Amino acid sequence: MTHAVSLSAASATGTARRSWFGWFTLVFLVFSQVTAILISPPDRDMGDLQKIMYVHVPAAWMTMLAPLALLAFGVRYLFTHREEDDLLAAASGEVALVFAGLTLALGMIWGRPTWGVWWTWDPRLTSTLVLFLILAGYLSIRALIDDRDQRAQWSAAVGVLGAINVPIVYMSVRWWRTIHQIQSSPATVDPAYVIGLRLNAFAFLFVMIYFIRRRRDAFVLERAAEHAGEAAALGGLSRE
Amino acid sequence: MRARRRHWEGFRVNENWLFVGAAFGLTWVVLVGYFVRVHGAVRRAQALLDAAAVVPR
Repeated sequence: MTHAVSLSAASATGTARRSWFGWFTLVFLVFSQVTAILISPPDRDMGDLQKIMYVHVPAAWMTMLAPLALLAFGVRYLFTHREEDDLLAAASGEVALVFAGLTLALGMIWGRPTWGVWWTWDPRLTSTLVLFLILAGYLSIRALIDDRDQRAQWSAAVGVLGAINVPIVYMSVRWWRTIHQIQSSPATVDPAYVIGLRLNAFAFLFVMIYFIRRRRDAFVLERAAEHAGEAAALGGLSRE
Repeated sequence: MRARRRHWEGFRVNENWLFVGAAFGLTWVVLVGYFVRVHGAVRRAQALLDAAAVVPR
């Protein structure tokens, strides 16, 4: 038996706050990308291709962060059975899938001019693809199961299992022989690129948070509409 | 026609910038596309909720 979700957080005040945060995120994202492109010099080996780092690396970080949110909300749902946690987990899973797809596509765009191929079965690429497929499976399970409690429990379990793949993706460049470089961080890139990378990392983090909260709002409203419809139907039955 | 071709003869598109443009362009297409999808879902759900609220009891 799940605890019913309340509409309080999707109220007018909450929506206004999300709208403000959304505008802030948009402005910050544009500022970060323009700044990163303008201030970073061409790389010695890659030239201007290095600038792809400012979208690919932050997207890859969100690809690993969003499934951890899915893991946290999924575990909390399994303990508390709060409907709110199930909806937050579902929102995190969907956003994670978007970032995983984006990361793979951006990696292909970067790989073609630098490696000479769009795709190779490298451990980092393959493990990211596996994560993408697990997330797609997570959303498929949610779409296939009608019973709310069963859907929440099964998908939470799949989400938790899927999140186990995140450390494998992260460590793949160290555990196996790979043509992908080791993990990018302010410690491993030239100081000339650190500011741009940091700015875009925060910009993508804000984008991820905004998307998860907004998608959760949509789920809450959908669920509330379902509850209202069921209540109306039950009211009609009791009068007959 | 020949004059126009001569005009562009020395012009070379920096291929690197094509890939950079593709990467940033794709990022914006995906992020804006997902925003539109989520925003649409919120609006549709709100409309459903409003419709459910006016069902006569």
